[in-house]
Amino acid sequence: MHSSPAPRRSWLNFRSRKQQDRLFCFCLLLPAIILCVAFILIPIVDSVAMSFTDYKIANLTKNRPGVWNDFANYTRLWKAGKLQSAISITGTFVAWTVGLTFVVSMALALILNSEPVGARFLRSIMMIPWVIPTVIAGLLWAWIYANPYGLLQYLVNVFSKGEITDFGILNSKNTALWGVIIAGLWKQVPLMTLLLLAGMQNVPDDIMEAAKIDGAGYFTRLIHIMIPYMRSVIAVSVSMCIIENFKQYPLFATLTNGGPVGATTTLAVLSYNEAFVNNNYGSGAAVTTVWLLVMIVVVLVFNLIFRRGND
Amino acid sequence: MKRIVVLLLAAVMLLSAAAVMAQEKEPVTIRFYNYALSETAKADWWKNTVEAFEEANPWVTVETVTVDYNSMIQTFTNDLGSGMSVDLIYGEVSWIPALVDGEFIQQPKDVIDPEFYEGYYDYVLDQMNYADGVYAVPHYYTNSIVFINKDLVEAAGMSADEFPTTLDELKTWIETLDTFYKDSGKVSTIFGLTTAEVPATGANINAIYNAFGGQLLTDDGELADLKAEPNATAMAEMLDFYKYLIGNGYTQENLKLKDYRAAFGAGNVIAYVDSSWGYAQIGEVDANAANFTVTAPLPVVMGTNGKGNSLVESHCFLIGDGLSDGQKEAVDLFIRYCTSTETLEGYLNNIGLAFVAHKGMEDCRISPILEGAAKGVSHVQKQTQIGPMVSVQKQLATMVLDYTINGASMEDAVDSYITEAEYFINQ
Repeated sequence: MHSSPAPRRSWLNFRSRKQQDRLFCFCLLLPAIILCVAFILIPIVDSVAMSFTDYKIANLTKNRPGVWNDFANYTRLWKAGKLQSAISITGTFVAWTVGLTFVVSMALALILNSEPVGARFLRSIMMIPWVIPTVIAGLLWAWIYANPYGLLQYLVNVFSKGEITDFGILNSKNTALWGVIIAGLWKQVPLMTLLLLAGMQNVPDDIMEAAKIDGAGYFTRLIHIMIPYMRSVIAVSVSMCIIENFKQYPLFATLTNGGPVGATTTLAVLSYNEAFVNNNYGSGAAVTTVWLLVMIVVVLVFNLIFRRGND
Repeated sequence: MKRIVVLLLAAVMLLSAAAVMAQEKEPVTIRFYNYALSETAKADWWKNTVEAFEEANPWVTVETVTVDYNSMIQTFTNDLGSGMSVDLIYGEVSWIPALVDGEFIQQPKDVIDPEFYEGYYDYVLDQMNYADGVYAVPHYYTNSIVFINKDLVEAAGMSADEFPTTLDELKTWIETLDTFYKDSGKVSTIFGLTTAEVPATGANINAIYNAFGGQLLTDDGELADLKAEPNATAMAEMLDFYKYLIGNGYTQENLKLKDYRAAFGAGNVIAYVDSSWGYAQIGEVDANAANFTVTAPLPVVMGTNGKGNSLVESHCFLIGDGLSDGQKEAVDLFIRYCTSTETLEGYLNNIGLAFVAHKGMEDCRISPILEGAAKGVSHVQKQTQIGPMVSVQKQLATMVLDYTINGASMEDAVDSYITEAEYFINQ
């Protein structure tokens, strides 16, 4: 008597449909995971590891591992006050730039949303600063700010009736950061305006109409209906703006290079100077690690605040 | 008999062929990294020079690599990391420490013909000393000189040939010109000194500090005691001179050398301090600038102790590590070819104005524009090279701005400088 042979089943048959779907999803995700690990995670881990070592040019060219240096990169930067100063300047720059970008963009989006004459043309023109590469934008503003032949100096001269003849916004440690903030606003307002405008146009007209019939004024409708409806767009655009400004380097490089007297030395500038001016890659990596941590904390806090607001 | 003759002829032919083969050299390629190739006028000169050299030495191929001035070190690092060789570099003195620390380059004395090597002026070669020896050879050099617009000076009833030789005379000269041009709107700068926080400015201020009799670094590469004499007096007098110039509007604050070059070319600057090759950018603004440009050395009496000395700046050849014997021979020949009157005279007169750095070029004609400055050409002081030289010098500009514009006291500005400089030196 022959026992019937067990039916031959493919390995896939051992799994449920759900498991197969998961496996298929994982296969689809695998290239992205490999790329992320290879080009994002490993470099970050490598940079963090480098920050704990004495790592100079010869380590790189001769493929020598860095030598553990008991957190010396961090302590040296901290004792010299460079980290604290750079964190403070970066924070100030990000707070003012993001805050002002949001306020100006919201105002412009509201104007454009009311469909003034030439709104479409204005929208096209507005995109020019965003399209221009940041380095070119920096050079353009450097020309505007140039002392004594720049446009700003000329305007100040005209409006002060010749009283102020040597106004160099980038020359004083009290005003240099504002010079960069203004250039940053010019560059970033267009994109945020368009994002906010897109969000505004998704607010249902019938609700706005109903509120109007119920007697809600313009600001009441703005604060209690429009902004809550735009919450997700605001969260995304402000998050993007925070990250963009945290890693802002080209504007500083072209306008101030961290000066005068260190007044615009942000974490980005400090990191570049340590790594590529002083050729101390370990120290540069230490700044980058702190920079990354600060950025993560700020974005997390921002998202937490927004999520709590949603609840 | 015929057979013997044929055999003899064959033997002679073989011997001749062998002799010719022995004379032919193994083909060699040298990879030559040159930042000057990104500047049109210089690129043309280098292209012609390389072609002429290759024609004269057909066994050598010079493979030129254009690199950006500001990212030279990163380019070397990346290229070496990816297995390419860096055989010869055309660069500046300030690059030496980073290239030596990165183990990119070797000492030229091991490559260049000893007799030719002996011909370099000691005071120029000394400037290329770092760690355990000399790590570059100069192509040509300059010290800090004063560019003067003789038309503007003569229009004020003065002579450009009689440039002041003391600090007091210089101040009188500046004030006289200021009085003449005050309300004319023609002139933006009477006497320009750069103060922007960039490496070139740092080197320029260091030169001015030397002119006042100060010394920034000790021979051991440590920060000199800036509060001991004569450094303290030199520092105080230098800072006060900058304050005098900026405070009275005789010089523009926070300007780079390239800004002064452009403004000088446009006829808006009466005089300013620069390297001799700064004239290249002046000439780009006004091709006829030679008609109104003359030069002078820094005054020989600058304050209490200053003798108008400045520092050597040089464009130089840096030789890559790990060359084969054939490559060494080719590099030696190429450097000697480039550092000859026949090759370099046109360049020094028309493209990059500078002074010769080799005794073998004593017959080389120097640009008439540099005639005035030539009187002070050997008023140079040795500067020890250190790894963080660029940052240590750049901080000098920060100190000057701190004192002249941002209201810091002299003591605070200098203290702050010492803290910053030591941070870089002790890393």
